[in-house]
Amino acid sequence: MNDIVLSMKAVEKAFGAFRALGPVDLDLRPGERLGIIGPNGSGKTTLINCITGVYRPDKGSVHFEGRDISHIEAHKRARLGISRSFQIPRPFAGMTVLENLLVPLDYCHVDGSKEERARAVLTSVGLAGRISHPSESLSQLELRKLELARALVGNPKVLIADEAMAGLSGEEIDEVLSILFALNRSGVAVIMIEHIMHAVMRFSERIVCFETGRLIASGTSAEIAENPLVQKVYFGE
Amino acid sequence: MRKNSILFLAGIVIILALGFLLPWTIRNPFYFFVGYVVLQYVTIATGWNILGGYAGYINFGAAGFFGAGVYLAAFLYTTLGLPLPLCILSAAVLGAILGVLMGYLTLRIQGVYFAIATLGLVIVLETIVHNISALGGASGMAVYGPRPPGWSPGPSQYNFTVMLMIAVASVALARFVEISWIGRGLRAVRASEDAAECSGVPTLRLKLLACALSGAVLAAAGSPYPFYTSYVEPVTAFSLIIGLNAIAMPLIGGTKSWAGPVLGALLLASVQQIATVTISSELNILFVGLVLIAFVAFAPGGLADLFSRKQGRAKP
Repeated sequence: MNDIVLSMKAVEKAFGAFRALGPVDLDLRPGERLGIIGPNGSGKTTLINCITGVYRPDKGSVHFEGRDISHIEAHKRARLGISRSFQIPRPFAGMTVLENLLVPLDYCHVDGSKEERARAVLTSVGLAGRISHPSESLSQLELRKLELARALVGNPKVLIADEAMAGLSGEEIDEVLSILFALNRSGVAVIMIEHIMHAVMRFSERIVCFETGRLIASGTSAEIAENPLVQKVYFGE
Repeated sequence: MRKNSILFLAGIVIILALGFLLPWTIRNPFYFFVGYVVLQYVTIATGWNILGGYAGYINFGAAGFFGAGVYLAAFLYTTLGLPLPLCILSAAVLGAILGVLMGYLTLRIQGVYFAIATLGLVIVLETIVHNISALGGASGMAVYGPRPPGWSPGPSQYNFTVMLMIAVASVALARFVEISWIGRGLRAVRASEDAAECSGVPTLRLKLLACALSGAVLAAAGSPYPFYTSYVEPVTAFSLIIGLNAIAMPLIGGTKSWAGPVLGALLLASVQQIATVTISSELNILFVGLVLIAFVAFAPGGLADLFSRKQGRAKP
């Protein structure tokens, strides 16, 4: 199991009569860059919520480093090393940028000084100059960076970036991508959920495509771009 | 120790020293009779703010905890003859247990539904007390409080100093919660519960802890009340005015910091007491309503927020 860090086996999730996800089987290797694409409502965010523990799958199981975590609460999964950013940034309003990072550090075990660790991460994402500013005062790009910084400050093994580049300009997208590449080089597996195709194609070693809650294609960027099922989903018949 | 903590500790020592010395220098006991009520509301507002302010869960049931503290202390003192400190401690423990029970039943719901559920607690507890003859039922019970010890000149002064000690302990607890991992976690819960949970914060456990601490302080606030009035009955002990003040005072002072509820309670409770004596006891409730409306409309962050904004503007 050492070559798989995260594994989903026949995971299903329904809301009433609507089946939002599954059954889905998906593996993630340590240090892998996985892209997840699909139109709105295809089950991408439900998938993340099942991985991070926000939702409990109705059927199937989620394994992390060989351990079944299907029934473990979200905060315990975060402490194990599964971290995420949110589609719509959710800064801890009323706190400074630094305090936003001290929250996960209070609850996830990290060696050394919490404040030093938080400052180092904020510097690495380019928020060194905003450390003592209220999080509400940040720009859209800075909010995206703060989301990523908060997700990676606890030394995760898997980072899930849920549309971390939505609403950003070309240059800003490059900035976020370089943060994610740098993080990945340090050994963190990254799952990128994204609608910005050129970004996800550039970043991912492997891409999976979802439609109506099912995984319909998997392959490299080139293979996905040529896949007739993917083309049908995005361009129609 | 940080500079702010040293200043806070020094402030506590000075206030406690004044609490013991003033009764010997100010001869009129009426000031201590009034001061007791102000300090009672400082404690209530501080206790309410641990859950309502830090975590953002609006609790309409403050009077339930207060009343439970009132009745437990009255019962333990009159039937078992427990000393006052043990009555206060027992009330705090009961408040914490009630807080955890209320939390388990209600914390999975949010917003207005949570608020309504907590209001139910007051009605349930008041109804229970109404029907227990050992607690005097609807007619209430007389409580002849302890004789003031040698360090206090009279009963009003004694009650005042006891309430001051409870208020100081409550504010110290609220400050500890605020600056510790508990407060940061609660503020994260207030901002976004999902984001907090996904950052490793055990949100449910933390909210239950906040319920327990808040309940303990609110019940402790009620525990000396029987000795202050010498008589307790359910309508006053579970009065909705206590619940209204518990919300209004932190909102007026500011909910983000321990200083907000203290400021709001000192201001509003003092004005209420002055209005009661000079105008009418009914009008002071009208005053609370008007001030609350004004703050919600024009200064939703409360007095503490107004001060910090003013300070921010003053900086070059």
